[in-house]
Amino acid sequence: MLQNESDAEETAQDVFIEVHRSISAFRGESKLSTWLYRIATTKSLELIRKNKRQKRFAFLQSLAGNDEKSDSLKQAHFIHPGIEMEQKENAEALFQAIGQLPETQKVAFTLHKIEGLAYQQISEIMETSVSSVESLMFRARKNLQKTLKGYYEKNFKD
Amino acid sequence: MKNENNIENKINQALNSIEGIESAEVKPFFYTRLQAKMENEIAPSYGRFSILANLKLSLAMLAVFFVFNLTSLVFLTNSQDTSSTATSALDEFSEEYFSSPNVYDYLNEY
Repeated sequence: MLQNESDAEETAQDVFIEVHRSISAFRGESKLSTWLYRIATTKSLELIRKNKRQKRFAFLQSLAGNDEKSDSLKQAHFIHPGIEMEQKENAEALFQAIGQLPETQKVAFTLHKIEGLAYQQISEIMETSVSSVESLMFRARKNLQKTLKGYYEKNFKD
Repeated sequence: MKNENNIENKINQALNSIEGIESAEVKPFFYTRLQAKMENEIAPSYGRFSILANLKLSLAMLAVFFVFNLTSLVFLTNSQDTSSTATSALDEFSEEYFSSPNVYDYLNEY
């Protein structure tokens, strides 16, 4: 979801710290894995928002004449380490498109397609209904198709 | 048309590229780094300026400082009032026992 190895590690550490802090608050109403996924999702979204804010700030700084390019402005091409070698090129385009999805769609799509979770568990993690997850998945797929179409039309017009 | 089909194929290939994706592994020594971070963030710091780092405590101390200052100010103002009362009481006493200079004004009539 974060599409950056160091961000993912930082978030993983934050998740463990949060679990250590609030394990006493876990009442066992949901599965431990669901609770962990919920913390991880929240932490990831927090970092994505923080990075977006930094990007906006860096953009404003560049408008103000500060040409020093910050790390956050550099758009890194992400390739998930678990992708098969022959699929890397296609997956890169897909991950770029996933990165542009709205938050809820991104969470639902990532949890289902990359983490391999069932709609039921995703609904528990996102604290919503199964039908909402289905709807999010449908819209995510539509948006991905649209973004990918734009990408391929631009890059493969031969 | 051919191009359209090509793009359609590409989109499907991209969407299917994550089929069979494996979980990402953490980098080596993750646990060591986690342990260090946990010690930093969770363990209380007994550093020289650790009190300053604790914002809640700092704010509480600031509030106490202001309350103390206000109390001192109120007490100081009250004590000034008391001293002025005391001064006026002294004047009365002095007027009563030591006549004011105009008491001797009748001497000037002679």
